[in-house]
Amino acid sequence: MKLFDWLDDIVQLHTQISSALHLARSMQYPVVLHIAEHLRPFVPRLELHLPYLARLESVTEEIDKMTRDPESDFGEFIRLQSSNPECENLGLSSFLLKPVQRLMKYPLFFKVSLPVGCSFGCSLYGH
Amino acid sequence: MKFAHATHIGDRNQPVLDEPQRFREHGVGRVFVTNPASALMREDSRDIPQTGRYVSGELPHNTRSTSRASNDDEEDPYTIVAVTESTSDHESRLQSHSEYEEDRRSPHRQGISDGSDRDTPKGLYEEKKHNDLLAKLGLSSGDSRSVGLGLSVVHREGEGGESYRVGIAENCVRVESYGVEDPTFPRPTIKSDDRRIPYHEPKLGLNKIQGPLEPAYDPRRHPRVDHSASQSSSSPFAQRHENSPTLHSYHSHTSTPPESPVEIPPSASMTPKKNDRKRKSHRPPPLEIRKDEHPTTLRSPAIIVQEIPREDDHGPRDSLANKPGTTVWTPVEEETFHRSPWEGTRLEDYGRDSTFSMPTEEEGAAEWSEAESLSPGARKLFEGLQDGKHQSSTHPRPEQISLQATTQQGYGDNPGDGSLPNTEGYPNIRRGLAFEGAKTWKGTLSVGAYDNLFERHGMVEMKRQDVIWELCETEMAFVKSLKTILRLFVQPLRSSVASGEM
Repeated sequence: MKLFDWLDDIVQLHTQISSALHLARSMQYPVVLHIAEHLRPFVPRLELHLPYLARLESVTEEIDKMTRDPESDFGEFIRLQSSNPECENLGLSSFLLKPVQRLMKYPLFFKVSLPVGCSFGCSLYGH
Repeated sequence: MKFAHATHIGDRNQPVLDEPQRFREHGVGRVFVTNPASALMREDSRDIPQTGRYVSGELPHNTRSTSRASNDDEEDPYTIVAVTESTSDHESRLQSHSEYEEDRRSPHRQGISDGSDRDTPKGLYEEKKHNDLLAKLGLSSGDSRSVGLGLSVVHREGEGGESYRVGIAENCVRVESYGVEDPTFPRPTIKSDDRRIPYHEPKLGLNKIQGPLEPAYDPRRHPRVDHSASQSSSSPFAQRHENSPTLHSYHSHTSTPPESPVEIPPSASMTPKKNDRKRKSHRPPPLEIRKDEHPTTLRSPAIIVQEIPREDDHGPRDSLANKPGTTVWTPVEEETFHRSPWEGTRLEDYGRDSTFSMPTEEEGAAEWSEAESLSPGARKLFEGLQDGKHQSSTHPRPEQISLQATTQQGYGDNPGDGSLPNTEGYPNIRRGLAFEGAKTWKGTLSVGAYDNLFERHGMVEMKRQDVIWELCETEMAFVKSLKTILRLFVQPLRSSVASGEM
């Protein structure tokens, strides 16, 4: 359950990031010339992903094991919820990987959207 | 008729008062010596054409003299009429060369005297200087003396009715010549076949320039006059009147700009000649294109425009297309222009932009129907591709997805290389993006607005805006998917744990 707590914090963080990006787009419509200043405050808060990532692999393996177990009530619950159309035939383990995949996409986005020499991009890349 | 009298005319010079009458009697070009002592000489020389050359000693001293030097009296309109006065204290000086007028203050004038004391050393010295000066002026020296020393006669070219302007030097009287104002004055006429003096028949209204005294006179338009013909020694007139002040007075005006409009012959036109045009042409030299050089391409090969056809954009073309000079393209032309190298290969897939969703069953059926028209080999290959697509569309097990594979795949490292993100092993991404339903940032704008922004910011900024838009959209989709997880899995688990069921 602690992993879900961390996941809840991650959702709150990315909700704020999404709101900041939406605000930037609405303020600079149609061309967003300044995006880094809206994203910079959330950079240190991305540390929330660390405990989540630290426990993700073990938790994912345990969830998959319980899902394959037909006698596990938790496994039955996962299979039941995964049949929901909203899940689009995705299991809980696949959803838990989403924060990881999201973090891996950020460098790709910032590499293009931020100009060369931007301090935000440099700090992100560790230069 | 105008005639100026001397200011100091004594009793001895009383007969000079009849000079006008005498002018009328003898016509233009006669030389009159008004001294009574030289009356005999005057009578003798009445019918002798004078050349303007005076023998030394013939001109008496302290006399009032009137000279009129010319040749071919009745036919020369440029005859100089000059009258000077010479008393016992004054020297009679006649000068009929216009350069003396310009060089009036020159020290050479001091040597040009009547020579009253020519027998003295001073007189010899003066005569020597006088001869030297004549030699400089091109006149013959020796027994000849210039007439009218101290008096310059400037001929004014123009119509025959204009009076001559006579420059007055020291100890000289003002003299004005005859003009057409005097109907009794025998005015010679000039014929065009007169070979002595080159004369161009005036043509009014053609090549007319203005004199220097006129306000709008432009000295640059002053025509060049070729004096080589008139000054040629081969001319009989010039040979015969080489030292005549008439000749020099006629040519003396060459250094003086005309005061009245002068007709320029067509040969002296200011229009540049054909050769001048060639020589003074400022056109740049023609560009030379070598065969081994390739023209510069408009697009840099390092920049590839990645445009996505906007099927849902049916907005009106805005004012940019209505601006003058803007080429309005038809949709087909615009699509051809914006077609990227990707188009034609995976256009149907990339048409959904970053969503990367798999084709639906209807699209697959349509693809199959298109494949039926292919050859057997192509059909077999196409079927293999279809099978591969359907196999990739199957949801892989989450255990097969590793973090290492995630870091190595995705968007290409170079965003501008046109590589598509490989999401074959990440159906979660593809499905999450497909959930968004959006296509591109360009699709959110009208055609005219996008073109205007493209012209203003450039292609790189447009690409950046696409990435920013995709960042925002994917972030929203990510948050939405996480909230779905919380709602479907976490909240029931928490509620059950709270209730103590699990």
